[in-house]
Amino acid sequence: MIRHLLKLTWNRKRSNFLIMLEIFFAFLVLYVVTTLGVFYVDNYNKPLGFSYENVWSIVMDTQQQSIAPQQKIEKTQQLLLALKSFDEVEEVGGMFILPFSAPDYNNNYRINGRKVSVHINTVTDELKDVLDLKITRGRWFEKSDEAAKANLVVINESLSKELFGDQDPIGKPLFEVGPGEKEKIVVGVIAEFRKNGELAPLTNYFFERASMYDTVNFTLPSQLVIKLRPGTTAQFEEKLVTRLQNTVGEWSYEVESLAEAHRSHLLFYLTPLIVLGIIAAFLILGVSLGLIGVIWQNVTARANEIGLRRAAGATLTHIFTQILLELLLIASLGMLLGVLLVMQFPLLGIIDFISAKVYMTALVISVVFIYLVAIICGLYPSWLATKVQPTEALHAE
Amino acid sequence: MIQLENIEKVYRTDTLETVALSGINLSIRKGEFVSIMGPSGSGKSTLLNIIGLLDVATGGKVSLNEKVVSSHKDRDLANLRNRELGFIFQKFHLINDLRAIDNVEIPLLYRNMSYKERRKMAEEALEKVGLISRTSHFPSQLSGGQQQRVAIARAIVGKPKILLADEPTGNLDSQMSDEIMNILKELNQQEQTTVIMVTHDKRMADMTDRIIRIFDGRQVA
Ligand SMILES: Nc1ncnc2c1ncn2[C@@H]1O[C@H](COP(=O)(O)OP(=O)(O)OP(=O)(O)O)[C@@H](O)[C@H]1O
Ligand SMILES: [Mg+2]
Repeated sequence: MIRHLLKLTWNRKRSNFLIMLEIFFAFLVLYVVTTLGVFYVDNYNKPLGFSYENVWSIVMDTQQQSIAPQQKIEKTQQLLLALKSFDEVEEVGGMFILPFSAPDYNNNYRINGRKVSVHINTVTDELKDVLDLKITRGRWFEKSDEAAKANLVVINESLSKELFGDQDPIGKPLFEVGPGEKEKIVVGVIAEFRKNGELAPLTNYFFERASMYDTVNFTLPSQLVIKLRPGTTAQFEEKLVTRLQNTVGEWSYEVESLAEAHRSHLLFYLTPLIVLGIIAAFLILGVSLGLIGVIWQNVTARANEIGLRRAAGATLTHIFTQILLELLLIASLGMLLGVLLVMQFPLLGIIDFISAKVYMTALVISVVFIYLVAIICGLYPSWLATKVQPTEALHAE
Repeated sequence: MIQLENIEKVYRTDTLETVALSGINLSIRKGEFVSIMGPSGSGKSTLLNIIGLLDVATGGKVSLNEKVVSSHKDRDLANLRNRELGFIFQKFHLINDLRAIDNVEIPLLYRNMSYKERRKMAEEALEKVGLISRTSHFPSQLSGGQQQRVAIARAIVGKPKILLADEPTGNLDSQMSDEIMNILKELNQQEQTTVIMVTHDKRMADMTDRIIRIFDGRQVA
């Protein structure tokens, strides 16, 4: 039967061409949407690696083109003291790139012939407690590291796996460095640090230690993160800024809770999904109407075919399933080209950041979804087809 | 083989009642070639459709092979149409988007049968109507007579015991009509297929064993 209907659908391809084309485009857009959606869900289910509850960020602007390192260190120390004098402030840390912020710093290293993309941040000793980072191996930075000869780094498990496999990375140099460069030595491993939040993919990450006193490399960050006592309200912000301004008046300060930053960063990730989702919804609406039109025409213009089949022994169930199957075949032919195209994506490597699992799940969801739409559109017209009276349909006009 | 008892068919609408058939009693034996004649609108097609289980009578009993079938359900009626009956229509009713052989195999789709078997039987049927060289033609590539032969092949592909033909030559010229008539006669004589044919053509009717005359929904001879 399928074979018979396949011939019928194929021979009618000219009249079905438009709807197949619509299905093809709808499928492609739907596929992109589901890939993105599945990708997000997959990412979302993985741990974030830090806690942003009751954490605020302070961006300090020195208002000067250049500032002498010594001067910046002194003023920052004054600010830290001021912050710590609040009962509400439990811990203060510094970092170059804030969680959920737009800037990112990453580097591609060529290691053993492989390209490894790594995200980097420079942070102070206190950050572990501010963001509640989980140490899985080794240790976090500490004050005595100030005297270390090498650059000390803490890496995440992903990077450890990428570079060291099953071996213990502690005490090992991160990469081979060029002559004259300081070696980077791994002192610890953290479970995870997903700076861009739970919708972003996992990345290789490492922290370098920021020194509060280093006037040579001048790694002092101009972003602070403060851990507040639970229950601290938004009103505290004003008190905080006032004291900062009273301490170092010539700088300006921008305070934001990480929870807030998190929310707007999520929106940044969700916007393309929502926009594409709306486009997909419209395309699918178009496809639905098209499909209904096609079967409607099938049922009315082909009434005598239906009558003929009834005369030849088709039951009502046969008629119903035939109309529905034809529809599924049209949908299949429309999707076939789309699937073939989508199959090329992994081969071309344009979706490297998406795992095979996400890719396949999205493919299956898209195909099933289009089939579901086809079935839903087909139910009523297929039922109508069973109402065609063979004697009337076969009547010679 | 076919028994009609007191068949009545009334079409009812809110305002109108059309009696298409009334008091039809008919018995057709196995292997008979019967024609049905009568003026236009007299109820010939209606009668044929009732015999062919495509339509239900509003009164009376239809028996096929000594079994009353008038009260059967759709599934059983469809099965009987599929196995016992073959239809031929004035307008052929071929599916234009299917090649001859794919049109012919249609009744076999509603049986449990492999593709290969279906193909074989469809070819045999086309062979019988002399169209084995046209299996891959689309209906539009065939003459009217050839199209009707394809339709006959479709009607006989499942080897039914009864063929029902509603003005099978109505759309054909006399030479083509003769060809069709010869095929029907051959099927009747060589395979003992019972043939019931509606016709307006006295010449055709005279070639059959018996003529049933219908006038205004009633049997007159
Ligand atoms: N669906 C219907 N509704 C109402 N009346 C109908 C319907 N079908 C047929 N009739 C009526 O039943 C009568 C018999 O119709 P039928 O088609 O059997 O005639 P016929 O003898 O085959 O005529 P023709 O030689 O023109 O084909 C006609 O009067 C027709 O108007
Ligand atoms: Mg008629």
